[in-house]
Amino acid sequence: MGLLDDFPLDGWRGLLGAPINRAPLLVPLMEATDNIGSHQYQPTTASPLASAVMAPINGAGRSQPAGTDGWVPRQLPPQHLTIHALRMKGVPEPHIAAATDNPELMRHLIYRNFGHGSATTDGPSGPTGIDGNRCAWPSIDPLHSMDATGSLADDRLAINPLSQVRDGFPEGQPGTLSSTLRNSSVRNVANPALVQLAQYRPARPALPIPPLFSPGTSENKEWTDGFIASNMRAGRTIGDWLRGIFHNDENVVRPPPGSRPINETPWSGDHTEIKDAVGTTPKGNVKISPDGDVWVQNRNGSWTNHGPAENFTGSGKPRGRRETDRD
Amino acid sequence: MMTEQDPDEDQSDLRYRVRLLIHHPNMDPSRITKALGITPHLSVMAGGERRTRTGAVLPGPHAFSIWSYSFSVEGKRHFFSDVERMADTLEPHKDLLAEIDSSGGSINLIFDLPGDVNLGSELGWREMARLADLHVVLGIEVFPDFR
Repeated sequence: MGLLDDFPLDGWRGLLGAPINRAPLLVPLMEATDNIGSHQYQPTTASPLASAVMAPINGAGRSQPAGTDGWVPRQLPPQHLTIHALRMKGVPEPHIAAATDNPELMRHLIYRNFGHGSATTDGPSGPTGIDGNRCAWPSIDPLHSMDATGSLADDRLAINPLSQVRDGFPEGQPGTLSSTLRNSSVRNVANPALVQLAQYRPARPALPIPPLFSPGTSENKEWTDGFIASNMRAGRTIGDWLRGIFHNDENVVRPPPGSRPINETPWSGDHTEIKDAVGTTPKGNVKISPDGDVWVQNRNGSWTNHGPAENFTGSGKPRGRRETDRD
Repeated sequence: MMTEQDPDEDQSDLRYRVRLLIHHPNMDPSRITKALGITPHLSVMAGGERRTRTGAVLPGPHAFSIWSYSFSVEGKRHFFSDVERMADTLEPHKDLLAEIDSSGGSINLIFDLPGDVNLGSELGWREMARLADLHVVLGIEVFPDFR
């Protein structure tokens, strides 16, 4: 169903267990991407990561769906640029052929020809998958490895846009980056914004959660305090919401909006009659609602609707207010 | 309701109303009527049906029992003079008033005064003591458009 459905389970396990190699690229990406399309790039001091960055852009890599589908551990195609890079390094063909089916040997070849850290960050043994399979390319994050080029950018964004944000954009870059990606007419031409993204990526924290989460430790104090504070705020919000339901004054019967004190209405002349009729004390406030009902405040503060004010006068009409200086 | 005239006063705009208002959570108001020997103008039982003066039914029952009696006075300035008179009426039923008060009820003696005329009065300590002994609450309310 999804784009990654065909990805082997073993490959997933290997990738999940593999650390991300955040070693900076040794090859200027502008130059590298300029040479990718023509297969003229010959890495000298570059690590295989640089090759891996460019691998999906060429040939079969372009024909495959973007993302992890192009990365199948232990089944490297002979035309793969890493192999090509090994050839350019002068590695004998038998060694390359042997390493193609032997991830451990491949790692040693890479290590020997491109230096420490080029194959894995976990040392010679390398990471081991759940089922014990070695991961041939543990240092390669296919999604992020393509950040340095404009190729397949749209596809990557569609697949996992968060992966772009997760590692952090340069401040103010996301919008320009997105438009740059989508407007790139020459996909094999390096984009300065993307090169900048690749350069920023290693310096940014991958996740907001500390790598080793142990609540209460000094390293995680800030994060833990923030976590606790946010949960307390959430708790208070829920509490306020519940109190609002059960103890909200809005749920108490009150005179409707627009009700006025009776002495401000034409029924002011009937005030004494009304109070006498409803049997309320001097403390009981009386209001007339917009629809003409008499609302009287009880001793406990609650309000009672005593019906239309016209029922309290013999004529059914208000006696009005006296002409005074107040008017 | 009754109207009284003070022969010593010729100012016809002097007027006020006296109300004896009793509230109780559940007492039958007829018991008060029978005890005091006064016919109230308002007598409702707690939990009873609420109706307007025209007979229309209002939503919800009465929250408490109400017993009320009132009378109007005209041409009289010294309105507290009626306190002594009311005390004379209530003192024989002191036990009932105490029962009303102790069981959650209240006895209010209320003076409704007009706000458009000058009225003045004094309540002596003896009258205050009598009201206190009867568990009566003294209330005063002024109405700007008193009729």
